[in-house]
Formats: sequence, C-alpha cells, structure tokens
Amino acid sequence: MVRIELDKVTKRIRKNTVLHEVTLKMHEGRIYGLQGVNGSGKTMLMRTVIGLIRPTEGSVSVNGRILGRDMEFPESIGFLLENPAFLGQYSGYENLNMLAGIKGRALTGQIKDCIRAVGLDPEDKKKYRKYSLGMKQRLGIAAAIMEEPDIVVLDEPTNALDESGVRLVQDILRREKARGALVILSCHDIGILRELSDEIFRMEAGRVVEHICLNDERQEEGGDA
Amino acid sequence: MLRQMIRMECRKAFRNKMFYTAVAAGCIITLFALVYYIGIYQNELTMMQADDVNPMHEASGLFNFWIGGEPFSFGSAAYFFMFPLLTAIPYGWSYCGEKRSGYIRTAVVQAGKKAYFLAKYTAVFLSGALAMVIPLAFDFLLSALFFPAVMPSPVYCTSTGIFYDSLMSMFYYTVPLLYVLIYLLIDFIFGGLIACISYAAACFVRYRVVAVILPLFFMLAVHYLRQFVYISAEVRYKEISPMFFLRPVQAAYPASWAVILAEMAALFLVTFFLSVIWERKHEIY
Amino acid sequence: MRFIRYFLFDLKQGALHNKALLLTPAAIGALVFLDFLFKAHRYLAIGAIEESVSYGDYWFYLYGGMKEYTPGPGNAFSFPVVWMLVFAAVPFVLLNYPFRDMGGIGQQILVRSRSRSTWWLSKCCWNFVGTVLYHLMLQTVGAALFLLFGMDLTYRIHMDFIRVVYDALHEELWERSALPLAVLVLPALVSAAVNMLQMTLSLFVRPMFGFFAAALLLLASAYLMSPVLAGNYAMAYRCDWMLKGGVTGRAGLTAAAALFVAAFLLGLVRFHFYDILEE
Repeated sequence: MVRIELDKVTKRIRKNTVLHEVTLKMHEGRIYGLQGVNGSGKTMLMRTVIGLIRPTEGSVSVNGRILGRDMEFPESIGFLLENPAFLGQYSGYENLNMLAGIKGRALTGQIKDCIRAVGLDPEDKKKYRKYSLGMKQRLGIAAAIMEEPDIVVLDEPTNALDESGVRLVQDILRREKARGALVILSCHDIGILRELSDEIFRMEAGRVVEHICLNDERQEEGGDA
Repeated sequence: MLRQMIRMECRKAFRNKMFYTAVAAGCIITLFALVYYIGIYQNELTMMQADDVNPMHEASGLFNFWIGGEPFSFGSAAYFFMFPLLTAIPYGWSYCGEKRSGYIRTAVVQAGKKAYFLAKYTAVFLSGALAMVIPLAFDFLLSALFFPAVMPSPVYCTSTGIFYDSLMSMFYYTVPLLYVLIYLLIDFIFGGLIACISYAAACFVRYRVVAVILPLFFMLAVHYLRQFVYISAEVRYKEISPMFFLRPVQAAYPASWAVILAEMAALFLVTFFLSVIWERKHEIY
Repeated sequence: MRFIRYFLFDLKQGALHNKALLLTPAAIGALVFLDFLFKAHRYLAIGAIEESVSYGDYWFYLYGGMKEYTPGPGNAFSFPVVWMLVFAAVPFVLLNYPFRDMGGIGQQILVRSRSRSTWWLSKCCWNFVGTVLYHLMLQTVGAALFLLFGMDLTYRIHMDFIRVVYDALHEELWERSALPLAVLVLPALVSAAVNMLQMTLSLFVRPMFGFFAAALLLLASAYLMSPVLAGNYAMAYRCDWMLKGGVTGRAGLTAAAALFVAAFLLGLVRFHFYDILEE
C-alpha cells in the first residue's frame, strides 16, 4: 500500500515561488495527471515528490514518513524527469544493468523485458550517445519501470515519440496501474492525459487550481449509459 | 543584421551577473593592494616628514603605488595571476552554453552564421577587455585619493621599477598618465583576446566551466615556456609571458613592443580563425 | 555494500575513465622532466653542481615550491610556476565530474541509493583517490622517464642543485641527502584537502568560483609563508625538514586532515539541503 501526501508544500527559489501551498493526496493503483502550461510547476512538484528538492515550507510524506526528515528519498520509486540522461559510452542495456545493480532488484531477464516493452532491442550494442531522441526517451521510461517500483513519476514521457511509441507508453502506464503502482504523469497532450489519468491536478503558477476526478466522471457516464 | 546581432550579444554580455561578479571580484582583489600600500605610504610619509635633507618625494607616488605600478603586494600578485579567469568569466562560457541548450540553432537561422559568430567574438572580446581594465582603472582612481600624483624621477628607478630599457620608460618619467593609459589599452586588448581563448576552446569542449578555466592554463603554459627560454645569465631577454608584461611595471625582464604585438597578433589570429572561420564551417545540430 | 557499489561506480567513471585525470599529470610530468633535465645539464656544464641529479631532485623540483617571499626593491613576486601548475591542474581536472554526475545519470543513482550522505561520501572518496592517482601518475611518469634516460632512480637529493634552483643561502637549509617518507606523502594530502575544499565550495557557488578560490589559496600560500595557509605544507622547500624555521610536517598533516574533514562535514550538511536542479 502506497500513499503520498503533500501538505501545504511551498518552494521558493531565490525570489520566485515555484510551488505555493500545494496540498495533495495520492494512493496506489491510480494514475495522477499533472496538467498546466510551461512553468506552472509540474516538474518542480515531481522533483519534490522524488526528493530532489526540499520544500521551503510544508512537507511531503510517503507512507507516513516525511521526505527530508524520516528518509531522503522514497524507498521504491522510478522516474523520468525532463531529458533522460545516461552514460554515452555504454549501450542501453549496459546503462540499465548498471542502475539495476544498485538495488539489485531487477534481474537480467527483467531488464531485457523492460527494454523490449518500450520498443528497443536489448541486444543492440549501439552506444547511448548514438541514440535518437525517441530512443533516449524510451530508455528513460524503461529505467523508470524496470524495478517495478511502487511509485512511478514520468515527466512528459511521450516527448519525441512517434504514434506507436505513444501507444506503447499508454499500455505501459495501464500495466503499471494494474500492478498497483502509484503513477504521477505530466503530458501536454490533454487527450492522452484525460484518457489515462484517474485524477488530474491542473496547475497554474505553482498552485493546484483544479482537481478533476476522471474516474468518478467515467463511472457516472457509465451509470447514465 | 550584423550590427543588431552585435548589439544583442553585447547586451547579453554586459547585462549578466557573471560580468558584474568578475568585475566585482577584480575590484576586491585590487583593494588588497590598495590597503597594503596605504600602510606603506603612511610609513613613507612619516619618514619623509622626518627627513629635511632628501625626503625622496618622487620615490613614492600614485604611479608606483597603484596596483599596476608595483609587483610586490598580494593584490598585484593575485590580480595578474587570476586575470585570465576574470576575463573569461563574464561571457567566455556563452558559446558552450548556447551549443548545449540549442539556442545556437535559433540564432543562426535568424541571423546567419557569419553575423552570429562575429557578434559573439565581439561581445566576448569586449566583455573580457572591460573585465580586465575596469578593476585596474578602479584601483588607479581610488589610489589617486590616497597617493599624490608625483612626477616619477629616474633617479629612483629602483623604487619605481621602470628602468632605462623598460617599455615606454621615457613616457613614464615625462607623461606618466599617458604611460598608464597606453598600458590600460594594452591590457584592454589582451584581456579581450584572452577571453576569446575561452570562446575558441568552446569549439572543442562541452562544459562551460572547462572553457572558462582553460585560458588560465594556457597563460600558465606560456609562462612556463620561460623556463626553456631564459637559460643564460648574459643575454638581455625580453619578457614573453603576458602574466608579467601586462603589468605596467617590470616584474622580471623588460617588455618589448615586438613581443607584445607578436603575441597579440598570434592570439587574435588563432582565436579568430578557430571561433569565427573554422567553427562556422561546421554543421549545427 | 551499497556505498561500495556507489564508490566503485565513481572510481570507474570519475577516475579510471577520466582521460584528463590520467593524461594531464602525464603531460605535466613529462614537461617538467624536460625542464628539469635541461637545467641539470646546464648547471653541471657550468660547474654549479658537482654531480648528476637523481629522482629525489626531480621530486623536489616538482613539489619544492619557492623560498619565502620578502617584498622589497628588486624583488618582485614571481609565483612558482612548476608548483602552481602541479597543484592547480588537479582541482581543474576533478572539478566537473560531481556536478556532471548530479545533473545526469547521477540523479538516477542518487535516488536509487536513497541516501544523499552515501553520494557525498562516495564523491569525497573519489576526490581523494583521484588526487592520489594524479600525483602517483605524475611521479610514475617521471620515474619512467628516469629509467628511459638511465638516470639515478633513487630518492637521493643534492643540496647544491636545490640551492641553485631555489636561490637559497647555505645557512638557510639543513644538509639532507634523501627524501623521507613523511615528506613524500604530505603534498598529496594537502592537495586532497584543497580539492575537497573546492568541491564543497562548489556546492555554495558555481564550480568555476570554487576553482577560483582554490587557485587563490594556492597563490596566497606561495606569497605568504604562514602555517594558516595550507598550501605551505605542500611546498617541500618550506618544510622544517629542509628549511630552518620552516613549517612543520606534523602541523601540515593536522592542517590537511582538519581541512579535509571540515570540508567533508560542511559539504555533507550543505548537500543534505541541496536542490538538485538540471541547469
């Protein structure tokens, strides 16, 4: 069972308030969408949940434990933030294998399956520096899900992907949700966001201005029908 | 288009925190020299007041107590060691940064390659040149508040450090202000060219911090060449290291116009060729 | 166990695969060797020294530094270029890796390790090992060149050579014939402490200013012979083992250790609150 709670999270960087009293609750087995224009604070919110930045005020807790006080990073989390970054001199598989070695949770077979799941070839010896943008994005997604983390945070995962790639990501996210992961997703394509998410938080200037429960809407529509 | 690009690049070069930081750091370093020499001048003043026979007024004045006129204080040592960093910090990193961010694609498509690279070279040159000269001018003006602008006398050449074979020694002992201004001009040009080393380096390196620090090591390497050049006690060498000849005072060997102009030309040709001509030929991804 | 994996990753990526870390000291070592060789031959030819030099003299030439500077007419400050090159190159070479890592795959590793302290500790260990590797490389290249040229590969030193190079008066120095082990180790330890300071400062200001501060500290140490300025302990010439009234080796070890630990602890606290943002 996984839950994330943000309690009046505010983040100031120099003189800018990038997050303003954000209060959210998230549970496992659901996909939470973050919607907003560039600079609305979506990525900053994700960074706060991952533990890469500390809130100036308020707190982020994961399963009741506060980030930055009780633990530095969530115990089980996979993420893709902005541009994926790996070591250029290694292949995709070598990069993921190296990362998997840290926790030792993902086996070789699992890593290869993950790479195949995102549409790449695990046997491909091509070095990461020669990858196209789309391939880099796919590898980033594979890194985020390969250890079957409890929390999956994906920032614009459909960037640079073709139609088949976008469909692949959608399938992956549905599978993650079915597995019971808590998925936080941002995407500029509102259609995809609405299709995948159970709840959407719309952000503007660092604040959550709207909270849409799509799951309830879908159930109501289903009921009406 | 070129004029607009130059204006835009210069605005970016001068209206940025790194420029202000570099100039402020340079000015702070010069204050070390000023404070040191204020102390020395107080002692000299006491001695002068006590000496009726030969107070040696001409031995202690603005022109040998400002940071450019003396090679003894820590401020002077630090400034003329760190200046390659101080000149590169304002804008030497910009080409690296713009390549990585992809901004270069937009700029080049809008303005054309020639305008972009030339404007960038101009802005880097000017920002480096000003970062070099502003702290020196600041120190000179501030020193003028504390030390009298006494006309130096060749009788006290061991105190001034300007000897008969020093560069422009005639000017120093007749029109010292012109001497200072000419040296500031030399420093202005060299400061700009040294900043352009970081721009040229940015054509080969990925990281801004590496591009900014490389000019210091380049200058250190040139300085190290002295170990191989100055091998005889009998030969009257000329100073080849900018870390010494950019000081308006002789630190070791006298400076020479031939060396200064040759190094200036070499720096300009190499940096201009690499950053404006050669780099322009490459594709921008 | 996790820390060891982390550290091995840093060692591999940040040291063993770091071409600059391996090639820079090799280049410096070779260049300084040539300079040293030409000087030694010249001095021998003019009778300034009595016998041929040995590896100990080369080591001293690399790490000697300069005599104490006393400002005065006819005595302009001239920084020790060999020493500055040796000690300024290593913070430059080690500067970029931690911050490159933090913005790249390092984020993935950091979050997976779930410990900022582990990341910082690993980087500190990498910094130390990188510094030691640099100095080892520097000395190994020198040793290899000594072997190649068939020169005396012992730690013997020749006082006449040292006096000529450092323009020292007879009565200023002790009569020594070989380098002791403690003296061999101290410059590398001080170098590690300065690099550690740079890495910590770079958490507060931009890395280029961290380097600026490290370079300024080295220059200040050359300018002023003071036990407070750590660089003095990295100058073999200024140690009391060589220079009468010089800085003591024990104080040097203490200063280096204190600086290293202080920088480590300050960095640990700072990194705990550090916002990891891609730039």
